[in-house]
Amino acid sequence: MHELAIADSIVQSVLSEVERQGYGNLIEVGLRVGELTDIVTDSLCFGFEVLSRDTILRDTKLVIEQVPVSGECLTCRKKTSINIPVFQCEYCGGFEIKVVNGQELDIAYLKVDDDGDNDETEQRGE
Amino acid sequence: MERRIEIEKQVLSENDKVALQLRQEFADRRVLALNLVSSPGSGKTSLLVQTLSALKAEFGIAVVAGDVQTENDAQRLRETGGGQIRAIETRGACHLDALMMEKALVEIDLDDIDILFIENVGNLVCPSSYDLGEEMKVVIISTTEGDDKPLKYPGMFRRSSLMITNKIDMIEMCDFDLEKVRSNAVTVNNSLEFINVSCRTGEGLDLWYDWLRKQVASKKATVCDKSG
Repeated sequence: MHELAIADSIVQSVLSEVERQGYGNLIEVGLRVGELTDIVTDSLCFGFEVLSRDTILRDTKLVIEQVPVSGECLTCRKKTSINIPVFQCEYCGGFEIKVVNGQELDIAYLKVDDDGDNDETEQRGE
Repeated sequence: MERRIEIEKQVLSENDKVALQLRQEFADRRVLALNLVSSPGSGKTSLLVQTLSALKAEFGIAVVAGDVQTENDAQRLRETGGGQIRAIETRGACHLDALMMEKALVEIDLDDIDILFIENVGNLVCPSSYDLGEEMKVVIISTTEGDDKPLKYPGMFRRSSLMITNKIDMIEMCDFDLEKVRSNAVTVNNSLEFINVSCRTGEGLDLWYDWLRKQVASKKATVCDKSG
């Protein structure tokens, strides 16, 4: 259950980016999460929701792209998909695999609306 | 106007930045840093108690022991009388991170040691995401666990360099198949090394000590830099 800690890193990282660049309204945060990170995306979304609630990210959507594991076979040199947990080449059956994708834990993009701003006048009525 | 900005920033970049500094520091001081990971109860602390007792005259050793609550593990290690022992109580966090390590290392004199053991929190999932600047991860399992563990936690076994199977004195009682655990582990990580031990009877521990001696020696060896 490290999703809350990961969510916290995402919120802090995005907040500092927004502050540094002076972006207006932040609509969306795009995340790329590899299969090998063992992150439960539902828990991550929940953590993001809770931790962003009292920040300017309270209406920001978190969009998660999950990346399957793939690699390069060091025996036949072909690019191969990996059916985890078995790290085996789908072409030659070799087990010497260099992992190429599946370890990502990246903030890929931010979607911002420059016309909006994030001060209190924009806040929705309750 | 809406626009999309590609930022491509690693979520754990703050952690990784500190981990990189630690790795450089370990390299400069020629300290072998090993990150010990396992489920709770596999025997990380028992292995370290044995190791400190056996090797304290031979090597300078330090241990940073992480636990969710209590300093019990650190206390057991201190009783061996070997090495510098520091405890990190994570207070709920399921893993150590590089910032906790950096803080704990302030109290350790790296010039005095050859080996730094990092005893991570017992957990085979979360610690795999956090680089602590270690040279390698050593994963410990025990015969009271299932021999399919490498398949259940591929992320951790994939990132480890050595797998120690502990409690082999109990193997008859546990239906644990050494051949099977090994073949399972190899499908996940083809370059994994294996050592079987019993921290209770001492069986196999010499193989572990020899493995450590080999790693320390290669750490101390001088490599001529031909690039300049």
